[in-house]
Amino acid sequence: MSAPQEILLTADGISKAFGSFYALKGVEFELASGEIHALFGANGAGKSTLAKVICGHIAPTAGTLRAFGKPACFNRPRDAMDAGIGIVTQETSLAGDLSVWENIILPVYGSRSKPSQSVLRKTAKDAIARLGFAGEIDIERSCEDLSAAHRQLVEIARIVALGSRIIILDEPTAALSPGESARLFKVMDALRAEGRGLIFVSHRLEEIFAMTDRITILRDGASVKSNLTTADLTQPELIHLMVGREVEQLSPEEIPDTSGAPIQLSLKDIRSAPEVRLVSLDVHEGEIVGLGGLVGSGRSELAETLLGLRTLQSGNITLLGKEYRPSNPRDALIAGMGFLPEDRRRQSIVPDFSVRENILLSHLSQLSGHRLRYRTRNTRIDELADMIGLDRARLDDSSLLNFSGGMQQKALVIRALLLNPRVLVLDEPTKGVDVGARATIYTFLRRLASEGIAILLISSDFEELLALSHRIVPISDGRTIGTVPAGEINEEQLTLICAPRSSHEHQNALLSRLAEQFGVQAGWVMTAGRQLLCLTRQGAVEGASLPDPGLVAPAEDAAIATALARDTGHVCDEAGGQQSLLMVIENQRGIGMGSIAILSGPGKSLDPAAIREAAAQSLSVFEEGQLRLRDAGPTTEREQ
Amino acid sequence: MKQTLTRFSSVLEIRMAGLTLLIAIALSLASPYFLTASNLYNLMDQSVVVGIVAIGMTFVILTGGIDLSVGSVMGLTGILLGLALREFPIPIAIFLAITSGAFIGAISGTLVSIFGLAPFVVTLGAMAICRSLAYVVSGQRTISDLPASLERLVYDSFLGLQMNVIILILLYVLAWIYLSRMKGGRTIYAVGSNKEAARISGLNVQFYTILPYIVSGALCAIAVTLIAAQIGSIDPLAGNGMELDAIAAVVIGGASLFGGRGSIVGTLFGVLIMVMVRNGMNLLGVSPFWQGTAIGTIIIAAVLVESLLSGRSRRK
Repeated sequence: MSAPQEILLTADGISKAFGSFYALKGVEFELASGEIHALFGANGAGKSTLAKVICGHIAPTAGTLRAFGKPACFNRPRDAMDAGIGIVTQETSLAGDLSVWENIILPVYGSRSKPSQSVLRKTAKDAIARLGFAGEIDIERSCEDLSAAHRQLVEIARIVALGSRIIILDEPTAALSPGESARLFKVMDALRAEGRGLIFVSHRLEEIFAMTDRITILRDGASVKSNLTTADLTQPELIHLMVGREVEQLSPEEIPDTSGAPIQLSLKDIRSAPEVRLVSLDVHEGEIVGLGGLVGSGRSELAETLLGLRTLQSGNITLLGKEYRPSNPRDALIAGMGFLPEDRRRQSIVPDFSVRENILLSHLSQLSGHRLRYRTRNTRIDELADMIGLDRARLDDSSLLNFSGGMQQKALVIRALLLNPRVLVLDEPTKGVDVGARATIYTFLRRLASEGIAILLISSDFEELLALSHRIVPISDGRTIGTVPAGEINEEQLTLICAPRSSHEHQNALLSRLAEQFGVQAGWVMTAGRQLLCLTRQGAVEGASLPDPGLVAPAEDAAIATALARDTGHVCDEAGGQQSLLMVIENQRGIGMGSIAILSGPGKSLDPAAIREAAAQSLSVFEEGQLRLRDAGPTTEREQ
Repeated sequence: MKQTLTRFSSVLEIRMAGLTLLIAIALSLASPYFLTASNLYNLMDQSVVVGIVAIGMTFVILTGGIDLSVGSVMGLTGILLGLALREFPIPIAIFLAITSGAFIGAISGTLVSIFGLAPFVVTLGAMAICRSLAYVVSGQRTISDLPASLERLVYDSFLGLQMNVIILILLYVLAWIYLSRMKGGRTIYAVGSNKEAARISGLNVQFYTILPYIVSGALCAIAVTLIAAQIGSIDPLAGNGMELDAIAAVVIGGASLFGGRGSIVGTLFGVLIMVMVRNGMNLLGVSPFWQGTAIGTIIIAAVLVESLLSGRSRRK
């Protein structure tokens, strides 16, 4: 932190009630110039609500906000903007049809001043240049064509152009690959150095420790600890503060072997363009399969295809051993599928129905006669309510909207289970759900699986995905990438696998440089268990080749089998007279992020020292020091 | 269970009943003629036509739609009824009129549900088309050669009630059972309250978006049949302005124009309030030119009070 600090923002006793539910309870918070301040907490702890209060999107019920030493009472986002507070939200708020520069200067349109177009263009260009992306983002392009990472930068540029000194970043890395995140962090560093105050909303521990100066921890809407210095904390302390108790071991659960159980849901080469391109996966009876993908990967669209909400263009689905081609959700329900949609408010809750009738909605759809027969489900509803820990008395409340997120979700899980489905598709089951209810839902889902229900779990929370699933099927750009046992992969590796293809630009540049320089084939590979994943490859040689990108093949069949088996970091002789070299890549914290695999043509030999040197140098150029080569030697550990 | 289902609506209905009673007491204090038997018969008689049309309107508004074509559909189906009565026996002619009303509703409903057009626009178009067709088909003439026995639909009495009032009550009972106790009715509520949730939960959103327009069209034909039976002739202008009265009754009855909220009993009270206020003003000798102001004020006041009382801000 730079020395002379000025307090930019203080929040004192901020509370926000939605009906009878308090999303924020007396939050204390302070932001100084030249610092990055983390708002940390579990999903539903109130981080985003606090961010929205600070930037004037919602008005607090109680408490005072002071910005730049003056009481700040924002009635609308514009007020906060004028006061110098900007926010970058998770879902970007860009106008897709407008060009980059128009988006950057958009707030000007809302004000009285009318600068000329050339002035506005220059403002936009300067803002992009200040972030260090001058050559990379063309300000005349339409925002629709930009990658998620670039869109975010455009939003930041908008705030920079406005001259905001307080910048809120709400889960900015949720949709980014590790490389893209790293570049974002550089931008954040630069903004901090300019003396701005950044509020960084996140639930990712590594990012918080790497980036922030101070932390405020929220739990169930209250600030448990305010303005702690990050450097004084350890990870376990932080987790402890977040959940308020020792975290239960997340995956001590013995993963049952379900490989012999019948396959309940099988997708083969499913296509529903443009979002779902090529998806194949199996879910066995009693198995929880996690579909891991970033925002925009096609995971929710896949769920919609399974429900018959999107047309299946090609491929086969088998449900409970029968061919399955749903044309609407009712078909899906009757065929034995239960579904929990992602967006409760938009896709699930019927606001004018009582809690009980909301639960009965799935029952209503499969009635063949005209009579309601609501009573026939009472016993089952009570039973499920007891199992999931929802007070029976609350079932007769007149509106589901007065429930907390966790209770709403419990009621909706009951709805999904009411018709006794054999296959359950859950889209973000713990989004906006408090920690307590979350644990209950986890336990409940495990119990369902143990009773033989096949569960397809979709979640952008990779920690949850890895903890709950038995197997992970990564999905990226609408294509599934094989399958990985949950215990053999960590969050960072999964993020890397799931990163959209466009994020591999850097890696491709690095690999093709190596391939050209040494006349070899170069690829970025990862191993998970006995399986090999090739993320991307460049160059070609005669003879055997590295696996096609995206495919997971058994490691022993790969062209670099010997290298993988020995993994010494030295040149190995492969079948067909080819030679191979594996160089392990690690991030700054020493976690393996895959390897660069080099494969020579038949009869040609490799010069390991020269290649290593070139690779190390390229890495420092292309990955900007975020990744490096792990030291080679006979002691090199296998990743994972 | 029963209690849960109707908890919200019963609160609304009790409020509506209270309001109706209040207005009735006020009017009976203001005018000695209000509570006479003949005036009460008069009130019921006047409630029939708008009451029947308001049932269909309730169905449509519950899905979040609106039907502006009810008046014109009455005009067209009335003319068709008159022409059919020249060729066919009464029951068949009425059946044909109802079928044609339902058919017009089915077209509007399909345009709304399947082609996703705005209900306001579709029914505005249907309103113009049906009125114009009514003139074309009738040759701009009133049809007055109706069979005499048609009037039995109005003037026969049973248990001391006129036939048309009995028909009204019967239709309300059926509509109430359908909307509160049957699959289709609850689906209509669900579709109006949150269409996306209804779709994802497997409800047949398309069909139950069309159905209310069919019900509305068919009920228009029944309403115009009763007008024909009562006055002995059919005019292509029949039902002119009916859409405003019907929508007003439904809205006074506590329904939300966004859909999902409202009840058939509330609509009945809405109809009664409208008819009583009109009747009361006539008894008190209020100028007909002022009556529009009074009715309009009541509509806005009713909606304002209802939204304050229910205290829930809508999502849209």
